[in-house]
Amino acid sequence: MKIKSIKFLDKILICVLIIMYSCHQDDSYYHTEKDFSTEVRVRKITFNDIIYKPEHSRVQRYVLEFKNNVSKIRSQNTQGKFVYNEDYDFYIDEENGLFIEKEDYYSYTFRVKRPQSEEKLENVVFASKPEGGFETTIITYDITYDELEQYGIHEIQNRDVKYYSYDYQSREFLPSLVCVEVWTFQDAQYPINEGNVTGGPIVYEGWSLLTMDCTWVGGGAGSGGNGTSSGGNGTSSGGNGTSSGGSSGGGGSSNNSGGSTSNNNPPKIITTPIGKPENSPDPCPSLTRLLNPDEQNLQHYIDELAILHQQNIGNEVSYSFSKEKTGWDDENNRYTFNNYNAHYNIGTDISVGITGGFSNSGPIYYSSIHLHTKLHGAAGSIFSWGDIKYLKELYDSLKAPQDYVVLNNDISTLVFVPDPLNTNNYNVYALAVNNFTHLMNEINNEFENPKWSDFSDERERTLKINDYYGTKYEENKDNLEAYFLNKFSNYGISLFKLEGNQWKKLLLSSDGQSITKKTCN
Amino acid sequence: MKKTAILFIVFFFVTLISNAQINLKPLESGVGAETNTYYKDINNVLNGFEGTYEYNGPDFYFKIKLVKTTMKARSVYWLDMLEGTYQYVKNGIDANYLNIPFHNNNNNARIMINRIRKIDDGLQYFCPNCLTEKWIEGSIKDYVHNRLAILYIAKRIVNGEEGLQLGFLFPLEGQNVNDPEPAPAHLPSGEFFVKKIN
Repeated sequence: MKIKSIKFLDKILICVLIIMYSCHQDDSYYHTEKDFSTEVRVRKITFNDIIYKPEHSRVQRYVLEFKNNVSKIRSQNTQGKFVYNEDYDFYIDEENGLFIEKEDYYSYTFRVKRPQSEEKLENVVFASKPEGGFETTIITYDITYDELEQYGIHEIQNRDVKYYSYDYQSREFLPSLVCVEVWTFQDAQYPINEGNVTGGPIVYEGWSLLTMDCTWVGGGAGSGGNGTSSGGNGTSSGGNGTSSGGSSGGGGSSNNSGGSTSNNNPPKIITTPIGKPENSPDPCPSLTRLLNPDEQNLQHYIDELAILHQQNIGNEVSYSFSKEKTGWDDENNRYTFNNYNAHYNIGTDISVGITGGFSNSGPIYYSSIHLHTKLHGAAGSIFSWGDIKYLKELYDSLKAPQDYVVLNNDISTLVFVPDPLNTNNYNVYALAVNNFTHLMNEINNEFENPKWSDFSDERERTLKINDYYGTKYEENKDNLEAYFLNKFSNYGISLFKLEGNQWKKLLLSSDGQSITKKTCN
Repeated sequence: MKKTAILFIVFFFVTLISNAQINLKPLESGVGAETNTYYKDINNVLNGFEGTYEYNGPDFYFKIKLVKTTMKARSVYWLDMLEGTYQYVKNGIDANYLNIPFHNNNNNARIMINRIRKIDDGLQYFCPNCLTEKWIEGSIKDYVHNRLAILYIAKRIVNGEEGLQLGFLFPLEGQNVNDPEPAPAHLPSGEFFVKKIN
């Protein structure tokens, strides 16, 4: 059985490798084909990986400085004290980056999102230079996520692509001459976040080069056009030439394909477009597997909780789900597991909580279901704020990369709750992460909100925030699911409801007042 | 006379401005933690729970003291609430905070109650034998093993004696499999009756 999310990711990971060679030293260009299929290693990466893992220390300074500068720019814009490239008022998806390694070459690519623009594909790339240090480039693809899904990654060739090289001293985007190679990745069977492209159990068919062109990159705010490169050094704005042999990574631009070859080992930037939807974990397959009687057998535990629910149990209880890795399934390209178990906890004076986490020597606790008692009333009829905080902590402790045993879309938390309108009935919900950066930020923002400053103890503060949202749940118990989705729309989470034996993703309608349901297939 | 008139006018305007700045909301609607809002126990529901109560059984001894505080200042709002303290004796451990001030070193009271619940809001599940009156909910700290429980309280009469039904619910917490399991709570779990002694 193929994992649906993986197949979906497959589309975007028919990757285009864009290799940009700076050609500052002479006016010669080259157009040649290379096969990186056995040399390139691609892995998922986060900002936290860069900050905390020694192997990425070489790029830390550039990433952090860039991030800080962007923040300052935003802050200054807000205060109106400093007019600077408003188009660059963006934030970075720090969670879903890609690390590319080829011999002594490294690049780190992250998705860029602008707050008030249509959703166009845009990335920032930190790429190593042969002489040392890193070069930072913004790549703006003139294609929306919807178009990307509709036409496929190859459509990028027909679109304009803009490149902006970032100068750390002036904090401006300066012009430079680049050569662009467009690479596609053929038939990726497993998402890049599953490990190295070469080696390991991941099977990729390989990279293939589409085109290569050279272009001048325009600098300055938002111009970013690609002008004709004539060996000069002027900034071009907006011009988009045509490319012989196919447009370059979009880019169009002035191309000088063919001709001379590079002989000076120029600095390279290798990147792959990272799109938002394709990188959002799809928890549906994993949630569905939870129901598999031969695996986690979720229904059994729901039945157990239903009995406790009918008995009006006065304490919260939980089943924490675990499994153990046994090997690799070549056919389905995923790890195999057995020993599916559930650890029972009851929130009395005997034990304390929902077990979660990863242990190299033991089972992996990747999901759980817990019961909210009827005592909570409507305030407990959906995930509490503390439950969302727990999901953040669980995800943080389990998220890939961690030998990639646990996929990000495996991580979830489930809750068994009294129905808000009739507490004798119950509902089962699941919560999963689709953007951990957002989740982390929103949890931290709420937790650090000054209005909770009277409660220095973490438990006490969490309880007070739970109370606060609990009151809101009661007020909105007639339309609780929509309220929940509305209230936590920025939290980077997805809400699912178990109906019959099928999970349904709950989505907020365009009116913001009702929900629609999308069945997990 | 003129001075009195001026003072009256000043007082009038100060009162007017003060009232204009503070929003008054009933505590029974919940604490929304809104800025410049006073969540007031308009119907004096909390008053009926004030007092000292105890349970003296074979398994443990528990004594609780509840006092109403009005217009308690929080970070950006005010509220009426019950604050309290307790003594819990079990297995030779005497956790006695009765003679210690509610507040010290800016800590909150060991018991804080500010949620008033309706009769039809789960009372039948908590205590079907309790008086059909509004009941209350808050939190109680366990200092012995650093835990925090939700505390449910409803009025009850047992054998003609007035008292309260207490319920302790320890919310589940995330527990990383790699971390040592925290010590269990010292406070009791479940429900029991405390009779009013003062």
